[in-house]
Amino acid sequence: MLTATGLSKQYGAHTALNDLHLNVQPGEIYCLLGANGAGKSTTIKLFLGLLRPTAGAAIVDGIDVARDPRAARGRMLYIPEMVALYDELTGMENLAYFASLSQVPDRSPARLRQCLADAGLQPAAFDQRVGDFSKGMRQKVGIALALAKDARALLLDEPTSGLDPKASAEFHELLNRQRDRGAAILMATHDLFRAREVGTSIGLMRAGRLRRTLTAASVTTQDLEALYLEEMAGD
Amino acid sequence: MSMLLPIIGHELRRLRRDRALPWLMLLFMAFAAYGAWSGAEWAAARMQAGQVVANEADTIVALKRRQLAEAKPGANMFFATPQVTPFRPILSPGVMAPLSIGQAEAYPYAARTQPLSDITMFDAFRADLDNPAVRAAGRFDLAFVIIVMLPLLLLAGSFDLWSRERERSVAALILSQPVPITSLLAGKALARALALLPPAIIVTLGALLLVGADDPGGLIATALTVGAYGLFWILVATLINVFAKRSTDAALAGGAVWLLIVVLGPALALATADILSPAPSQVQFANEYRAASLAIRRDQRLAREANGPEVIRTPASNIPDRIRVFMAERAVEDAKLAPMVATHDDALARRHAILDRLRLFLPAVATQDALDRIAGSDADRALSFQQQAMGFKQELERWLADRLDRDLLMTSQDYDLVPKFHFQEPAAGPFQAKMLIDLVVLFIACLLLGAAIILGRSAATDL
Repeated sequence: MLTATGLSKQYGAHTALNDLHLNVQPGEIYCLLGANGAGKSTTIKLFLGLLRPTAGAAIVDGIDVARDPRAARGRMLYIPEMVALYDELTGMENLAYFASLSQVPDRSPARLRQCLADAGLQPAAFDQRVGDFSKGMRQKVGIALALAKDARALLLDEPTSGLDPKASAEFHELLNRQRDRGAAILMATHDLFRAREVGTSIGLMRAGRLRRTLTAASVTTQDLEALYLEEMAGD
Repeated sequence: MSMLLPIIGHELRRLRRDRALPWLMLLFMAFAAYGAWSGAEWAAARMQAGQVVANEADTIVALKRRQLAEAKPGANMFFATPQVTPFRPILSPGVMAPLSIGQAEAYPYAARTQPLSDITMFDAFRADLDNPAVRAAGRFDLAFVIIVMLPLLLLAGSFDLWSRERERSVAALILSQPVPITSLLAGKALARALALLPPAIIVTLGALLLVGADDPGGLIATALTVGAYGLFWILVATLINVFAKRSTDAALAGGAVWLLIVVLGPALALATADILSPAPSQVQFANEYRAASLAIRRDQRLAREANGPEVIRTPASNIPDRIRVFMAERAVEDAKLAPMVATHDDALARRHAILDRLRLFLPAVATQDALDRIAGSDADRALSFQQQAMGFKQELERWLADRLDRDLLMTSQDYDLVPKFHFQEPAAGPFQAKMLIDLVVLFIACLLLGAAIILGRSAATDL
């Protein structure tokens, strides 16, 4: 579903991403681990078509993102670290607007309310201004949009950063549900524990390169931490 | 199109919740009302001044009629000689005058024309002695509100139409949806055009109707001009938002562009015209004209005196022969002074032509020109009045020559038959060719901005 073949991004002399090869299957959560500047966010932006690759291709559901970004975006949902919405609008209004931008066929209020409910948002919050929402509630609106547009791929950029443990656990539970319905999920994170917990595969990145790929089930959290520190200590 | 409607709807919903916009619109309404009132006051004062001039002529005619009625047989009838018959061409303000005072104050609004008058016949009707501070700043009329304040209202409502989302990171979520950036920007610009322009046009037309400026063609032309100028400013804001990543940057850029287009542009245009074709001094010309005229008349007087005393025919003619001599001398004087007048007029025409061309590059100047033309306060109308008044003077000279030839004194009935000045409007109302050119200028400026937005659209996706 999400495939990178020789994906590279160069900013002048600086290489942000170098020859990335990656494949995320439906029903898989692929966690990218790495320090700041490792190339995780660049990878996600290349998949979203927000950056043009210097070389290689990012492919979503068989569509080369650089060639047809609109078609690719129609199959994905992006959840950044902080889901920024229109603070002056309600949760429902925000969801309705983003659903319309995604050309979701069924945007009836009943369906959108169901999506918000399925994403774990309390009904009392549906018609509240998003300006009053916590970070976790905003993430839920993001997930509701994924449900509304039936996104086949989710791209998450450090989504649980700053969430309290309960909210973080809830969010990962939502992710598991998305995985179970067959979505391919690519998540950039710093959280080794959660990556090990929810991830199917784990990629360790450093200085724009994917150094190692692991199967989450094959390592313990301690092993993962040791490997991570070993990789990060390179150069 | 299917993408545009939800974006427009969403933006309109957001604008409805903007608490500052209604207050800004109220402020614009207050300024527009004051501007229209100020323009109407000026038009009324100008009308009154014209009426004073007309009354002056009526008073003189009434005096002549009384003198004719009271004249005893054999009395000196010099008062009935035709060269002192009063004529007063007057340029009345148009119905739409409250819209713009424009160029009207820079040109005479009446002339004290007599068959033997000269080019100084306009001198008493120039507004040059007005308060120089007012002349420098321009009048606070409705055109001023449209040119200067409408852009501020529109910029206030649209300066952050995309930069706000960029700085608040909403842009990332938006751009990750399958929506083209051009549709996004177009939807946002259209929503602002829909939310801001119709109220601004309605306020403008309402203010004009309140002060009696109700010519339907003029109102439609005003609506089109305000709409085109407003659209230009919304596109300026959109273009700024293609590049500005922060709202403070967008606001500063908007202010700078406003300053450049509304304040500096027209000033630079005048400076350019001054360099290319300096404005001839009206005072210097008048002084030189008078000096040359006096010199010619002195020479003519000396020549007349050298010829000896005036020979009185027997029986004496009704109109003294010296009037015929004066007329012949005036014709000579006019011929001698014609090159000086032509040089002055050419300099004025050159400068006028330069300014006329420069407006094609300056949206604010083109808009002012369009509003002036709708209001009838443009330079072309004023110059046309001057030309028509000069033409009328020549008609009077022919009329006088005929009466001199036939030695006819004026009778009371003749005063009903004397030629009257009728100002012929120089163009086809508010939709005259040059006003349409102004609209085309604004339309082209909008197209160029639209092209710049499309060409630079990738910058708008740079987060």
